[in-house]
Amino acid sequence: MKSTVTIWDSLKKEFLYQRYSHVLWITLVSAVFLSLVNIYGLISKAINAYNNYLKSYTFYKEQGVDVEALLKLPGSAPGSSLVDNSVRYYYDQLSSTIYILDGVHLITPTLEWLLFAFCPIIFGLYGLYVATYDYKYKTLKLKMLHATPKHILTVKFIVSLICIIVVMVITLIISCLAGLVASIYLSKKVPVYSFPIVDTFSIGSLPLQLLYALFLCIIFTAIGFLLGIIFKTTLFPAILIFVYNFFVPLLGKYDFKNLIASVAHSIFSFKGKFELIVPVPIPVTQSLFILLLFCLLLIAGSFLLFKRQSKYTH
Amino acid sequence: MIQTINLCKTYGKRIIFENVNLIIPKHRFTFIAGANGSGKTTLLKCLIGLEPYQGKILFDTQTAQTSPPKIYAIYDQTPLYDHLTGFQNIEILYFGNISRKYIENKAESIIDPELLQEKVKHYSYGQRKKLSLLIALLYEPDYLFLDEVSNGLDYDSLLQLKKILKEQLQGITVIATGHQFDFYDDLVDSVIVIANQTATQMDHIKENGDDLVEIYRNHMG
Repeated sequence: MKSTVTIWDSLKKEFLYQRYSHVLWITLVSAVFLSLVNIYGLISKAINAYNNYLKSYTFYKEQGVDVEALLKLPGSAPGSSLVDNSVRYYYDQLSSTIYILDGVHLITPTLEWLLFAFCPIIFGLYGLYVATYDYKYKTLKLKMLHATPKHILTVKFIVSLICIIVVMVITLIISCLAGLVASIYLSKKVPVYSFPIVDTFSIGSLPLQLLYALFLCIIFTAIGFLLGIIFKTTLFPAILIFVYNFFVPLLGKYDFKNLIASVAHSIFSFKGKFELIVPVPIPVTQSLFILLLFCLLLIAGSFLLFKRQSKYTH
Repeated sequence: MIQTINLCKTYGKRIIFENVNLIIPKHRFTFIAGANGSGKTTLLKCLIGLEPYQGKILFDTQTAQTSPPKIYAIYDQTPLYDHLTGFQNIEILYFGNISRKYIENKAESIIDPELLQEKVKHYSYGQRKKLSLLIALLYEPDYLFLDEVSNGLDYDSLLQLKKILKEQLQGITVIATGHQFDFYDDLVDSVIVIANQTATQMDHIKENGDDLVEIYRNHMG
């Protein structure tokens, strides 16, 4: 049967459902809350770095060392994770955190923190919920009276895409505003103007980071969609998503997490609180190509499976 | 009018029915009867497009692919969003835009409008059926399918539902399946009995004063 309702009408109904069922709010609040946790972590990091800087500074001063000269030397040898010069090390840590907390500079560390640690869960569960709620309430057979499976799933995908963008944009705006408040708070605890950045560093290309963030959120949501369509329930796929993200170690260079990390390290700087796993070496273009293919397969698989399922029992 | 031409339905090698030729009259109440597993619901699913089939189904001489009919269905389990209110369910499951005032006016003869502000999970089974019926009537379909709609209702709810069906379904082509013949007895204009992989149709039931149980027994042997 052809669809007798327009995509626009169906989009409005889908938005309405997501609004009434609070799924959009829960997703947004989770993302905002976690971004605020990140800011809290950055403030703690700055205060700890300042305290450690003061301790190191006083210690070396008491030992008769020329601390001002130490501050001109690097904190650690290039490529080494060992700290050779704690005064400079803590100075850099503090100055970079102060820099990051200031307004739009916070976007990159917020994305790093959310995207690689929590978005697979947040948007995986979001996609799972959107894909399965009609199974749960057996309302598919009502929707199918007026729309084709392709129409129903397209509407869910479009609304999810819009919601992903809305959630990310609002989260980043709130995060930046909270960063400004955090900077003011930090300036009362730490003499922030005494710690300008010595070596300027790049936090990467923001448009590229935003594009990659959107792409990954679409993949996470599409994973939720496909799992939801396969299992028609939320519990087991939700456990799968949790276990894979938090408990399964890196399975090799073609592991989904490794592919994501491989591309991420070429786009993000990870100067904030979050440090992403070091990936098993694989060319970035190859990783990106596999991820794109994976995304297309997820979406195509969802449509194919959804079309083949009986709608009467749901 | 719905016309089926050589309608066949199989699940693998199992034939549910074959070469079913029916003419379901317009603006009349047609009742599909048959034993459990005879294919009543399968026929209904074919008619509303939830199952693939062989043969043709025409709605006023057009297939659903060329000219989709305005249809609605009320199912036995009354699918609704339990965690939402009655109003919210109407807004989402009604296919179009509708004002709250219009819903309240229409609701008065079917369900207490106050109840529509409560979450559906607090509704009784009968109230869920009434809400489903309200959504169907708001939609004003040309064809309304009732899938074992009287199942599980207590005596009072059955009487109320029957009253609503009698009063509110004028001008709609209704196709119902079920087992409670006494419930449908004075509603039905036409009967389709499904047995032995085929369907037999009898019309003018109300005019002739025919008894559904008798018709059913005669056709089931």
